[in-house]
Amino acid sequence: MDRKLPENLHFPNWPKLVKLATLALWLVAFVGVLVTGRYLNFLRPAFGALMGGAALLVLLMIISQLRGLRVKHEHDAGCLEMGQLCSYKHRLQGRFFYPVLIFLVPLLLLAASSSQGLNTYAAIQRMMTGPGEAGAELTVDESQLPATAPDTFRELRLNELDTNFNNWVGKPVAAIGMVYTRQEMPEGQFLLMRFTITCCAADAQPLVIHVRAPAHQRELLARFPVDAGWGPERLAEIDAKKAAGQELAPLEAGFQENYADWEAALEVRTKDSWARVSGIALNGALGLRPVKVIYAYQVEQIPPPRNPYL
Amino acid sequence: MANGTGQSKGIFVAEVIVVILSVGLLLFARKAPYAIAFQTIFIAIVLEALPFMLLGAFVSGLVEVFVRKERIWKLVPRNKVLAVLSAGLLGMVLPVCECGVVVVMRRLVKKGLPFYCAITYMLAAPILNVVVLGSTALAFQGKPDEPARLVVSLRAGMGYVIAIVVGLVCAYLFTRQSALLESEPEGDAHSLHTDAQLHDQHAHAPAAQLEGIAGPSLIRKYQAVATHATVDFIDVGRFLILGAVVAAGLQTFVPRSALVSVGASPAGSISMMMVLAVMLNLCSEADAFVAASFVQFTLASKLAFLVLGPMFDIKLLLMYLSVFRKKLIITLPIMTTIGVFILAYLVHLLS
Repeated sequence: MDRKLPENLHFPNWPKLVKLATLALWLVAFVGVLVTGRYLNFLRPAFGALMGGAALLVLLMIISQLRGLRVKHEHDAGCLEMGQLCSYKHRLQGRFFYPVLIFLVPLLLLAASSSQGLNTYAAIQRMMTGPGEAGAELTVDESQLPATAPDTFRELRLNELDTNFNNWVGKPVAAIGMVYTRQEMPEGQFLLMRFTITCCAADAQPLVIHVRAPAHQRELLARFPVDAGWGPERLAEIDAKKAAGQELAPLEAGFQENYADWEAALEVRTKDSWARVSGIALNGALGLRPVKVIYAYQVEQIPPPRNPYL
Repeated sequence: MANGTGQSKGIFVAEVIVVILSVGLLLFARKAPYAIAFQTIFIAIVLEALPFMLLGAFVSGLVEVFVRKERIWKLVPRNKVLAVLSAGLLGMVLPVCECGVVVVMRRLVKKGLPFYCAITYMLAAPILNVVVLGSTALAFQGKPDEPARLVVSLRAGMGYVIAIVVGLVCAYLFTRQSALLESEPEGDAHSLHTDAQLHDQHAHAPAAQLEGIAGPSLIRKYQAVATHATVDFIDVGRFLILGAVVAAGLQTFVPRSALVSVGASPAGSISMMMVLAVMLNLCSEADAFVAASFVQFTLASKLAFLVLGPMFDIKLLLMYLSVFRKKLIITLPIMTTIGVFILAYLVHLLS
């Protein structure tokens, strides 16, 4: 049964307030991703203007919603938006709030997401031919390698290298990208990936170049494989052994001596880490499939770039 | 408010499921590679589409406040075929991408544009506009096997033909009441045959859009435009977000390499590209660049991708729920898909 209400009672217009709050959150989101540059993880740089435009339009909507935030009891607040008169109890029914509920989902994911752009998982899903057979050995035409390691490398974006690869074969190049590696991959091989984007991450296409890691890194990882228990704990045991005056086995001594290089080689092979690879561009093959390869002399881990896309 | 109660309940359930899944994803799998990929793609689709939808909502608000029904009634040709043929070219005058076209189309229908003309406009506008045709030309530049002019002409031609065929079929298979979720009691341009009826409608028109809004005329008009835009944005935007969830899910969990094996034959190749178009939910300004990069596919299959995508994808399908009844929602994609396949296969046979 409806309650009899006093004549001069006013109610907050809850549906309008909820709508207003949702629009305000979206205004904050558009401005936030633009000002922090976070939109670059999802959109091409030019679309920053879209975020600005959207913020402006949402602001215009918010201003238009500032009227009628309190209503008289004759028009029940809950039903005013529907242009109907209905009973007082409808004011609190969820059906006036749920239309905006779904708008909170992207906001929630945006706030909580640690995304720094598409990752190598997405790249693998988008590759038309897949990452290659598990365990396939990368072979390269080493006859085009120079006699000595070059001092300087031409810095190229991965799409520049990919598009004109034949022009760069045998020449020293450097490129940055995300590292992809998996358990079945032989030591000393990984993929360098980056995405080209037209509008947003939904249309981003992966570029992939295979990397043959530097010889000394391959050798270290092959000599001290992680699967065989080599790692920080083993180093601690070796240190303790040495401190106790015990004689170290040659392998243990070698591990202790080369630990910094070994750790650097391992770090750079962390999936989704970013690396700068400097080496010689070569034609290679993964099994029977021809692939583009950088025969690396240097691989260094770098922080993710502000704009992860090309 | 939509009066398709069954549809509303279904949408409500879908929204609750999406909210629960999102919270679950954040609580239990936030750092998983597939979760990061899903979040990135979903947020990207939403961030890219919402501004265009906002723009479409404001265009819709402007139409509501500044365009009188009588003007539309007078402009629409009396002949159904002519009306559909002209509606197919409306995108050149009122260009809107597929994110905003549903909002604008909804408003035009409420203003009296026959629903089948609105459907034709909705299908054609995301293809037949200067921006999209320009980006198509740019994407296929420098490809001797697929000259840009040919691709642009075929994309525009196929899009136009399919839009008018689907519009005409809808004109004869459906009525306004059976097609739309809400039907205006005063009808549309083709249900009013005499000037007397037009006059009657004008005399008994609903209260002016500005009634009840105080202040100078310009402020009142802005208030009305923005209020209508807000309503349209909230009504249609929820379907866009639902569509983005499904699209992001498909992109995250369905590897493209799995589809390649299907595309061995010409028919398989065309079908595969059509499936990709529906799955990827790309905007029509960007899809040409993606299609151009699929070097292993034929021109016919790329055209199928370029024509079907702006007309029918997961996001659009869900946005249709804000306007159309179930029967039309099922019929539209089927007709569009069949039309695109036939025309694309014809291109394959002729090339």
